[in-house]
Amino acid sequence: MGDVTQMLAAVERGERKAAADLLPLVYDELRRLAARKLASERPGQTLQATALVHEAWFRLVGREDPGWGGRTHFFAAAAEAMRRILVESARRKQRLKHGGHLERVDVEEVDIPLPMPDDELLALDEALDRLEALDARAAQMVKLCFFLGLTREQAAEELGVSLATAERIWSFARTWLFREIQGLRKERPQ
Amino acid sequence: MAANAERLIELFHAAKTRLVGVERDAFLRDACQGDAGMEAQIRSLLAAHEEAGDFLQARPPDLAASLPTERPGDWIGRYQLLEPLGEGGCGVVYLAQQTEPVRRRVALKVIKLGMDTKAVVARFEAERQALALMDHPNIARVLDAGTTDEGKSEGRSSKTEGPSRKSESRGPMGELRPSDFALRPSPRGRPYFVMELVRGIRITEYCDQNGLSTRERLELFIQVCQAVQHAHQKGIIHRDLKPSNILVTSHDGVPVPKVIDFGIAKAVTNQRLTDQTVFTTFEQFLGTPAYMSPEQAEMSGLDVDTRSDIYSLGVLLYELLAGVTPLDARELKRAGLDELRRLIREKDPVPPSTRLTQEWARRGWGSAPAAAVGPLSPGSAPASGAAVGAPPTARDPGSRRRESGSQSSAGAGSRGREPETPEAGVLPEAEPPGRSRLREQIKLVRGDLDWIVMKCLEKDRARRYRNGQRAGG
Repeated sequence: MGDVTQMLAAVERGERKAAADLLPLVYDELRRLAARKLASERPGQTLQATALVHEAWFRLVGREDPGWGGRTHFFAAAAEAMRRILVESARRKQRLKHGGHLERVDVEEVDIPLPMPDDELLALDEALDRLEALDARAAQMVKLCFFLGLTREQAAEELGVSLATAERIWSFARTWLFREIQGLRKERPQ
Repeated sequence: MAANAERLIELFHAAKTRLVGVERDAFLRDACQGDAGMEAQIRSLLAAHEEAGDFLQARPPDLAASLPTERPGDWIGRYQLLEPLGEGGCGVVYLAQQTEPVRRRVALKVIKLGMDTKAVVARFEAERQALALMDHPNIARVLDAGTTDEGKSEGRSSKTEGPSRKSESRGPMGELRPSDFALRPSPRGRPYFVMELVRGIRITEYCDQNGLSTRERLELFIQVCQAVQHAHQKGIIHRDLKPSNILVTSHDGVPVPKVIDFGIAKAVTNQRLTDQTVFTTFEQFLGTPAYMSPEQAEMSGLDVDTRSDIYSLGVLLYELLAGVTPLDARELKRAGLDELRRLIREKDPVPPSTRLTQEWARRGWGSAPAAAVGPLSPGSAPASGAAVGAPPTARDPGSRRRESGSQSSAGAGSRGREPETPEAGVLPEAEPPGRSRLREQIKLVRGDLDWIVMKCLEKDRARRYRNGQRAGG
């Protein structure tokens, strides 16, 4: 049984440490895969977060079957990892903007195009932490749909809720986050 | 999970399905049963929901590759990269050194991965003849173009790039001749463009930093119009005119605006766009949609022509006069794609003088100078006359004049007549300008300048000026 598969089983049993160990592993794998793809793919080729995660899944878990619960934990870790990779890209972009443009670019760094302006993404990241405190399921929904690119149906399956419930949670979560970010924008000087 | 959150989600959902107004109010009253906190929460969410548009709805990023692989010291073709100058939406711009046939510094822009190199190169190729013929002091020349596929590891070997790059066909300074710079498409390489190096700042920043008067701003603007006019006469449309593409440098204390990136926007953007890539285009390439014409925002495949540039020039003039863009840049940034298109297509901005008058009122300086706040009434037209009617803000075609020639000359006339206002602090965010200055400002802008700007900003391009000569007076 592979490391990751064992870890997933441990997470499933409720071992907290296993979840903490799993995240960096998945994160490293995703980051490495993204960097390699970005460096070698033909221009014009695009990479999907979902495709990356599937490849990571295949490499880390392989043909073993950690069961439905294991799969869910893996997706959860991958969604969190994608979020961090995006946030790092946004931070780096901001550093570049603020005069850091002469530092050498580390080839291992992965600059993926952001789905929104960098400051907004960082605000979203913070707001997501607060949403998590309010309703963990809603935050998870955002990670799965927005950062991982799952469809609402897939996310519903991962969360173990009906599609209708998933839609409600999604609508609430994105409205809530939008309101939070709007607030941040108003506080910011122009 | 907090039961409270679950209830909040349920009530929010239920309230959304009720009609706004009495029905929704009644529902909230009943459902919240005096829980004022809960009711306030739901109301603020409902309000946010209205504005949220497509927020987070777009599918996650296509992880189009954008890892910069060049470093200072690398050679691209016969150019050695010295340092990055900046990162634009569509690529990274480097300061580079050319060694032959002349030694000089140039700006070299490498287009980001994720674009179809072949198509970009082919589109650029189609315009190379016209681009090489452009020659105007306010246009930064495009000197060269190519793909980055070769020579990176072998130093300068790629300078011999095959028969298509005959250096003997270049002018004495190595400029391109029409027969020159055939590009060699490569599946692996990325397109790059070499341009005359312009060390300047955005025209809007330049005007603000130096406290330029309206008159001085107009003088810069006219030069920009002449540059655009020159390009249009050569059959080149810019397609992405905005402050970051109009840089001002100082030559012996005289400001000289230079339009950069001619020919590049077309090569890079003129591709079939799906909704999925439109966001990327807006955000990464075009940056601000505030300068985008309705027909460009439409993405309907309608051919973009010179009038799109005229629209962007109108936005620029508006910003130079009023300190803000006609459509609120932040509102545009917040809007989802459909809302963005709708705003650009339908929302009529107020004339620049009205914007200034609003600023007057905001400062609590009492009733507006001279005439009433808001769009002009025919009676308030300036003495220069020229039959300036109401500025074409109304969507009623009958209220707009179709002929434009006399308007632009009238505009120039009124500009010449006005006394200099050295520090007219037009911009709301600038140091609070004197009351009298803003009064002069409003008087100056109201009338002809309003008219010219609004004519450029017509949603229907058939109603705009056809060329920059007219807009620039």
